[in-house]
Amino acid sequence: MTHEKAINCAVIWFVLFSSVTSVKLLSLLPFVALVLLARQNLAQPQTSRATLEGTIIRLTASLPQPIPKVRVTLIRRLEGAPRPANSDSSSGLSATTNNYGKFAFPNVEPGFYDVKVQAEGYIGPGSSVELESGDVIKDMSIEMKPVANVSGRVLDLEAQPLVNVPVQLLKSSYDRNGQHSYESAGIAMTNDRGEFRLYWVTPGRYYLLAGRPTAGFNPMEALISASFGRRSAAGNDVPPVLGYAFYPGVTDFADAKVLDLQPGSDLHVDLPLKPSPRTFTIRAKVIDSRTGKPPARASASIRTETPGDDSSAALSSIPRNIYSTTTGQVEFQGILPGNYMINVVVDDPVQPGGVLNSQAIATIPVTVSSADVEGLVLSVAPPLTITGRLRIEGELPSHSKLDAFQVRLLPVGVSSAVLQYAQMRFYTPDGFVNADGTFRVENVFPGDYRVYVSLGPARLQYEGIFIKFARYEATDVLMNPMHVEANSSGQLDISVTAGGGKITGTVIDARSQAVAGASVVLVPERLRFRTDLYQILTANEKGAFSIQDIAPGDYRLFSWESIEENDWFDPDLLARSESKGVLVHVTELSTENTSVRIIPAGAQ
Amino acid sequence: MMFHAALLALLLQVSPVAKATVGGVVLNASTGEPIANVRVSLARTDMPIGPFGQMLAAMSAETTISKDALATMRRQAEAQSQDGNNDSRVAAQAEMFKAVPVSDIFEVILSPSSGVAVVPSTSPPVMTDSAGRFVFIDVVPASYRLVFSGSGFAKAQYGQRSAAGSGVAFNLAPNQTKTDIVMRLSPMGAISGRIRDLSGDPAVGVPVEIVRFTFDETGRKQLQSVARALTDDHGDYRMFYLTAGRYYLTAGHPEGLGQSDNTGRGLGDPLRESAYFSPNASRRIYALTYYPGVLDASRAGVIDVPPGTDLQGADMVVEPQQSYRVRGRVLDSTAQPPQRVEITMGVQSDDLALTASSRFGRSVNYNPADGTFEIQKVSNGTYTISAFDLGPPVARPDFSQLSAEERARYFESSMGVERTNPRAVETVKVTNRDVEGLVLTLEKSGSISGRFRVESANRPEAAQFGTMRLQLKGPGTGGRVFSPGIEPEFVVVSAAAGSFRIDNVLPGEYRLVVQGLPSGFYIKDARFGDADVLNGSMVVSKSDTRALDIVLSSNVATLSGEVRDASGNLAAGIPVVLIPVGKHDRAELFRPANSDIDGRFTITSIALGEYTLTAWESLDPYAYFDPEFIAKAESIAKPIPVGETTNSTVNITAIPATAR
Repeated sequence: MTHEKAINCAVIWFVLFSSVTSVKLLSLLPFVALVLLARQNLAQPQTSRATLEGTIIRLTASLPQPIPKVRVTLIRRLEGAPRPANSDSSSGLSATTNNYGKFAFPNVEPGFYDVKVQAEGYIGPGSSVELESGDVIKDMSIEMKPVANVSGRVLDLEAQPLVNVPVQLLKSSYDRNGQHSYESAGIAMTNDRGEFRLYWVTPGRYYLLAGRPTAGFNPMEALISASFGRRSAAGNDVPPVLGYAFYPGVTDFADAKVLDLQPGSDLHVDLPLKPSPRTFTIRAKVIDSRTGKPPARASASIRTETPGDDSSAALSSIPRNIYSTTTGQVEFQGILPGNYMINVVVDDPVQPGGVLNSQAIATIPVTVSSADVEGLVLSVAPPLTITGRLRIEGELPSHSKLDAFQVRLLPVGVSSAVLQYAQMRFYTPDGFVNADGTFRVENVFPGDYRVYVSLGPARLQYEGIFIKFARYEATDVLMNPMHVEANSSGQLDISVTAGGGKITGTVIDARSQAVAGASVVLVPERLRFRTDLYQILTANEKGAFSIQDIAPGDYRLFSWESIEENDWFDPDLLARSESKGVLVHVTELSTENTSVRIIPAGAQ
Repeated sequence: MMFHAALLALLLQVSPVAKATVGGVVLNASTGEPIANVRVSLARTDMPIGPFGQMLAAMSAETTISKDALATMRRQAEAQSQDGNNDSRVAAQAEMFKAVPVSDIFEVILSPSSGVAVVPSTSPPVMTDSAGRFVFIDVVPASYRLVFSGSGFAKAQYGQRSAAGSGVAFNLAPNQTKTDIVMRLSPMGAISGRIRDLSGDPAVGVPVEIVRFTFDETGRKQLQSVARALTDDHGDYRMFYLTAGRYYLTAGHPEGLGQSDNTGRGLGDPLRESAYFSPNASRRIYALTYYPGVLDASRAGVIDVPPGTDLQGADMVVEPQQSYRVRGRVLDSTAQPPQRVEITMGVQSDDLALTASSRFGRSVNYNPADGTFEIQKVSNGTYTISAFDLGPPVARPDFSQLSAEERARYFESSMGVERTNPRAVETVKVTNRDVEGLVLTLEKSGSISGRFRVESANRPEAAQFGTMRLQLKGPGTGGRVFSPGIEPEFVVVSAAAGSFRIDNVLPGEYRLVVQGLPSGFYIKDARFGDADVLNGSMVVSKSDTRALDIVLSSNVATLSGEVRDASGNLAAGIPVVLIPVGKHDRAELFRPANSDIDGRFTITSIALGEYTLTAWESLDPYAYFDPEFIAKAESIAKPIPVGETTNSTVNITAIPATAR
């Protein structure tokens, strides 16, 4: 009995078994077809095409119901290729479900397909299927869940409607460096009755925000938002709303309550908001740490740490204070209570060639509560040049000469917005390694960094080579962030080695059947902050996977049926999933073999 | 006497100027009740703010720039120029902002109809009290406008007679007290409804728009968007804060738009930034439907929104938009297919924003082996399709190795290449079927030289030639050709001699448009070779060497007079216009004016000829280009001859707004 036939038999067994245990369910489903779930691999020539039919079912707590008018698209996946993130549904075969939720593809070329489903008011990850020559699958069943809606009104404290106020749902998310932020799931504007409606939202946990928590009063932003506002108000003036509120009517994000939007829910929320709240002023003095005096030229910008300042982020960073060369004084007006980051940049005169060189910056957190902030000192420091040496332990692949390496420092521990700012302005500090292993990384501003080593300039991740140790000023900067101060003078010593371990295995479901095309995530067991150690890949159509080049250490292997990109950096999600992952110990050049059980979407 | 005046001026500067007082009451135009909490701004029309003011005036935008925003702009311009940036434009910008007396300004009010006005910091805006009253004391004597903005009421200027019209400026003399101003504000309306598809289901995420037709300064009819919304999951929409008026309502995607990408969220969708569209919804493209449910714009029903009315139930059914494809060949002047060609297609529309944005995001398949191309997913409509020879591939330099200056030079030179490469422009009309067999023959554009001759003793100053704009408008309904470098450009060769050159002219048929004529002159004649291009179109042939001769004359007349309303009172802010008899396509011969605060008007620079003089109580800017309006005007008023250098005085009664 081949492996595949074993699976098929097991499926029949399961279907029969479950038909006994859940008669109620089967009486509602086209269960006759279910029994036929096993492939009818009829004796047909290899060139013959396959047939795929099935039903789209509404996933609810109570009764499953078929969904009509679902657009079902088959998108062929090349063998071994990961599931395309943004597959273009126009390039595949498509069909639409009838009134009984049924779809049919009578004539499909054999291959491995992703099945994408789109329906008004429903969402679902779709499915995937391998069709062999002559296959006739009659009873594919794909679940979709209804979306959620949030509507309501934004009112002032006298219960009068507030017009043209942006209302948005914010969702926690992570970027590929593990930096956390809140992303907007769409913005609706209130109408003349103060009403908004955010429809067809993906069920999940959200914060609801009305208004924009901008970093104080930015006149340019006011100008732009006024002209935008006018557009939706037929050219007439709309009184500006400067305040903001999170559900259930708080300005401090720490007091905001999560809205857990269940599938099919239709929530109505009235949010009270103070349209013209009291604002404060921040006064600070810029000092150049090299001279102890105010620098000749400086610009400062402020950014709120309150989530939701999405599209206007760039505007809020516009330096808009008046800098006085004699006193070094900067002033930010119209600041609402909250947490902020102030960025100060000192531009030295332009060097020949138009390149801005040897700047100094400072990034300082400020909290505004119920009074003006006075006497803040913004001490700017110039960037450092960090020197070091890279050593190779053991044998490396022939193409990896020392001077092909690049050392890169990625800022950590600051808000991602500051990170963006730093990257935009200075790029990530990096430097090439010389043939003798020495290197210089220039333009490193004081702050915390994570050390990366790459082969060639393009890749952040190294291939088959990992850092064995990295030390800076007697600190292990592999286990800890690399802390750089204005007067730091240490050497960065890095040792790299090849010969990582390997894990092979299979993704299985609750019935120990292989799951095709599932995502597999390798998570470091203890060094969760080392986002470079995470590996993400997709199992093939047989459910098999192979992870290479793993730095020795302990890891936990997960396979989530449904997970948003980078959510594997979410400590809460990891804590909830911990027991469902497989612990794997990887040593140099070891090959571990394990199976990992998929975590169903409902069990996360 | 001269000495005394100078002394007086000097005294006025050092001693406090005798201030004026201005005030009045704000009433609800529908009920006559006073309105509290209306923001009233007193804006000076004669406060010099230098080139910045000229730049703003040219923007023709509707906005208010606060003192803080001004200060920010100035600081940024200064910071840029201090960054050691040698770009002369940056320096000029810094100079421009330096000339703005920011500390004397509270805000700058910009409107397309009445230009730039400055609210001085000495008399900031006031709010009306519970009796609707407002007053400004200690006002510096000058020329002012009053701008009123109250929640729930349409924004309006004192003396404004129509939604898009301009208000009246008035002079305040030293010690003058003018507290008898009565301003009536019109409460705003709303309109809402539900859009369904052919199966009766809600049509989700459909653009719904309130539009009206306007005319531009060259007499071309344009579609102007007043308000926009997207339907929600119930198919419901609501548009609010509508100024009372007559509008058209549309649902669906404009022709030529929407088909260009799968998600409908790319460029070209005017709604992408300001309305919610669920990330879980897929954009369906519906044909543009006019209320009450017709596809033909000429059968669209007018929606009258009375002041303060909430119109509900403006429902419509929309059907999917059909799409077609356009196929053809591109050939160079030797009838060979070019190796590298850029083909763009833009919709020609009455809606300017639509025309400009539709160029993007349309993919064109081109086969250099035989020169064939195909453009898919094109909806019904009239388009401009242009092909542009990219020439042999040029290696792009590594920008990171270039200085800012070198980069700028690179882009400038590549744009120069773009302008001179062979190109072709054609108009394509798509009507319920695919378009096949279109041939685009690439040709090098040429230049046309020309000269202004002045047929009178007076000559414009040399500098005034530079402010003139000569345009050759392309063919097609909209006549707008939006492709980089294709719009022919006007270059002044010698201001002293009045000679000019128009570059990038492709063979074809054009309409000559002259704007920015110096005051006191009119165009007497325009000839391209022997052809009269003032009263006819200008046909440019391949390697045309004819010269364009434009004759200006200062033999103009001035007409002034008084306007009275139907009850015989002198009326302020009344639009008065001279319509040239029998020359309705000569936009520059239409001469408009507004009556001032005393009901007087003066029309200058009138070319000699026969005109119809009319005055209307309510008239949108340039609405006198509307053929229906012209017919009405000519049926009411008698033509008057305007003779050489005559300064006539006429009195006229305004036609009431209800007469239209």
